[in-house]
Amino acid sequence: MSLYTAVSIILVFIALLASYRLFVGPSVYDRLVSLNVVGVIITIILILISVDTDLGLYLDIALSFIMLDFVGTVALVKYLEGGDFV
Amino acid sequence: MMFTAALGILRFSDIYMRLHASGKAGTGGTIAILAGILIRIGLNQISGKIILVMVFILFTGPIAAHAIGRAAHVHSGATDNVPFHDIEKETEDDGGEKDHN
Repeated sequence: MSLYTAVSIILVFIALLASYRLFVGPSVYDRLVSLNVVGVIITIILILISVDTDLGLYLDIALSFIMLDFVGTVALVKYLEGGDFV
Repeated sequence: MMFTAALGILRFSDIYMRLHASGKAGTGGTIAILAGILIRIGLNQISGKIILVMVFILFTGPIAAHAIGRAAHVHSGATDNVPFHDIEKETEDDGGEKDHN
């Protein structure tokens, strides 16, 4: 087991710990904060897989995942504020 | 540092404390892990994209945290039991009625 696999397993447990607030969070904003952190952890795990297996494909997937995660968070926040989409 | 962020989200009591934990510790932990990968693999074709992901997270993490905090403050139904004194709620009396729980 390489170092990258060990770090990935630790990060999976951290993501499970953070997604507790995703399920039982009292308000919508707690769930948004938790979803943001879980998305960043998924991006790090994809980068670790890419470095471990020497496949550049996972790196492109990680880059587009973090961009779509940010756009989704901003869109949900704009919807919850009741503002109009630009 | 990522463990600190997750523990802060799990244990803190209201939304602003959770944003404080995830905004700084989450971004800093991500930058630290990716910098460690960069030092290990050296400079090649993969590390350029890793630097791109690092810069993107460094810019958009605080932007997302600010957007969530602003929305939570505008619709302050999520912050009814905040233990500090809110000045804006006294001076102008709008935006405090909607409940989003």
